[in-house]
Amino acid sequence: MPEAEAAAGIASTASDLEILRAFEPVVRYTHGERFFPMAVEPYVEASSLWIYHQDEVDDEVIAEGSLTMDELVVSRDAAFGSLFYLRFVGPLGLNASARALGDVRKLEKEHDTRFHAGVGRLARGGLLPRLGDSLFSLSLIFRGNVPGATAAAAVLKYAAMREQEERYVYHGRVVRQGGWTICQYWFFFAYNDWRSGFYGVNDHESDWEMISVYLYEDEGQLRPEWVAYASHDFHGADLRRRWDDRQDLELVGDHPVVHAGAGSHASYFKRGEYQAEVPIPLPARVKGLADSWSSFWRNTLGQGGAEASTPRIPFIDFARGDGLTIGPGQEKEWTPNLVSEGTPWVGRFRGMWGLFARDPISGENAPGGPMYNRDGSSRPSWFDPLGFAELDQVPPPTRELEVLESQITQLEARNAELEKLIPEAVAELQETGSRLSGMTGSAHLGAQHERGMQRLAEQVAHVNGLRVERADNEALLEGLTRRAERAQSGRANHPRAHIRSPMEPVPSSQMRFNRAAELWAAMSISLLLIGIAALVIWAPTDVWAALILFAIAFVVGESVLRGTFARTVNRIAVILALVATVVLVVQFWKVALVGLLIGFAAFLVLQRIREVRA
Amino acid sequence: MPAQPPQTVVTRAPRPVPVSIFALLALVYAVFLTVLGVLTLVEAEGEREALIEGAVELASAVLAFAVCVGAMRVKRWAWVVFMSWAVFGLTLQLLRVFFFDDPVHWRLALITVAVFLLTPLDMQIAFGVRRPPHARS
Repeated sequence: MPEAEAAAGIASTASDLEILRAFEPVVRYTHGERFFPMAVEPYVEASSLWIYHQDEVDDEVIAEGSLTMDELVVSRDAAFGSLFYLRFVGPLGLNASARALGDVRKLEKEHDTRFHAGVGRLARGGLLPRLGDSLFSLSLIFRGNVPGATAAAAVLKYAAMREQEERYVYHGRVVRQGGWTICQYWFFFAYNDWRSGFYGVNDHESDWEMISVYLYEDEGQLRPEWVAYASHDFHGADLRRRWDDRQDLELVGDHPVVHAGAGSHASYFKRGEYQAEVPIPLPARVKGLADSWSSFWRNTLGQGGAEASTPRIPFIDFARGDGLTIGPGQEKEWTPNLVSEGTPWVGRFRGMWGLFARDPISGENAPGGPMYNRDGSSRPSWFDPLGFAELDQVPPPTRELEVLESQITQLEARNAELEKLIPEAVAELQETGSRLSGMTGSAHLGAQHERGMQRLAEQVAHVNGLRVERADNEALLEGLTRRAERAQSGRANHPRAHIRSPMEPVPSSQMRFNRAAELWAAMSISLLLIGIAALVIWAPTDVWAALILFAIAFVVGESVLRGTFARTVNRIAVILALVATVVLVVQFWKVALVGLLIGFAAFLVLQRIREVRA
Repeated sequence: MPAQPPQTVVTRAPRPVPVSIFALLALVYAVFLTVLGVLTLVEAEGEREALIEGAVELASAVLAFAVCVGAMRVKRWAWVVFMSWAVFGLTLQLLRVFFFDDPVHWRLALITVAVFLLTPLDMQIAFGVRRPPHARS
């Protein structure tokens, strides 16, 4: 910890539950959120259990109302490729769907929980991303997806459960690894309604989210040092913040504050609206072409601004923190539930916790449990909580000095050894050199000379290697010594030194679009399609020419509204110029060839004249 | 003696060579359009279409002169005006190539060369259209 303050702690002899409670988070949800962390039992008991067969129709294993926690974890035989999954909302008919949608609207009105995206949501993405967004929505018809009314039915089912028993539950565990004590808080939700409720990427039954607090032991106390928040499928050092990082990490006493994404439930450090970009998976050949174009654009045409070779669709994750807050001393408090590998539903149910929608890119399929991925393989964040946040390479602060000193000692010993080895190697090298020079002029020693030259080359490489190693060690020693001195004086590294590309909310200045831009963004794709239809009807003879003019005018008009006119005309001009070049080369290839040859000849003549005059 | 405020020495970045070449092309084009416009007006003999054509050519000549001067001074507006013109001109000429079969190839070539002269990143930076990489906003 930094010299300024040592984080408050808890006695290392405290029970796991006490440790969990000491650092349990404060989670702020967005106004309009409809699902909150819950116990798994009521969900399971209100679900049915199904099995997916690769080539057959799915079978219902246990019907809704008959499934118990004990039944869930019973070991069942299944063929390779089969999958067990829960189903929270059963298949809905047309009437039931309409009723569910209507009831949800009434419920939202009654409780004033309607979500408002606000101005600017649509205008944040350009024309192409919006077109991609529309295609992405269309793709749901072909990909497997969770039907629209399922979310409404899930809202009603969950609301009824909440009315019966209002509890906000986290499933906590305490793990001890690599000198760290890790508190993991797992949150289970009945449904992820990011797409249907908040204009996001996906919907799926059930959702698991997690945050971890990393503690170290210091004089009989466990003190918090790091906090990591899981966010979508990201992992790595960017997910964690140090306890003293006041720029990002908000604390309420000893409780880290989490801002949860509306519908997605992804965890963020700061409140705000995050632009999540979903890469569109491209076939390898198309990806190769896109990479080549990107390289040609940047390197050959000398254009700036890396043209991303993988197209991405921007989506907004609203983590406004203006809704319900759950946590110690807040509007609602937690009910902890201690879990471990030994907890039957954690360790023994390897199926999906909701509908398997058969979505090949998995966005609409329900997740596995905390311990397993969808396919039943181990979930890294459960088994390797240190590696998940790249903390496996960081010693706890109390062990850091010890680790540094041990490394310094090892390096110093190696350098002392090198100090002896290098002169010896140089002496050998000199001997070989002298022997070789002695052979010069003796024709009969040719073969021996050749072998000697090989040996000489090996010795040179060896000596160079030793020198490079010594230089590297010295540089490393300097760094380690500096770090050890800082650690000795109680000064930690900069709390944000490990962060490479943190997720940041979109600044409000970028969210301010005028009404015209917003209106245009909302209507543009439809207008484009209507315009094309109109051209086909009224200008059938010149339809292609009119289409090109229409498309260019559309893109330029869009750029004026978005304030990107200069960048857009640049792109269009370069693309048109490329087409013009091809036209000119095809039309005037002889002239172009002659011009090229004359130019080359002139260049050569100039070069030679310069050489002659020099 | 009161302390003198430190003098700020403003050093202008030299005009890139492609910009000078572009300005020269714009000047030649402007002169050409002026001559063409004047000749068209002189030979119009009151014919409405010819008068409009001559006037458009003269107006284009003025625009080309303005772009030439703006380019010589490496002004952002000159770059934006020219690129807008280029998009319009290239679209028109390419439509003539592909759909109407009466392109003016030398105009197509001229605009293409000018676009390739002015659009590389360093040119955009020189004109202030883009910020240098890693520049603070």
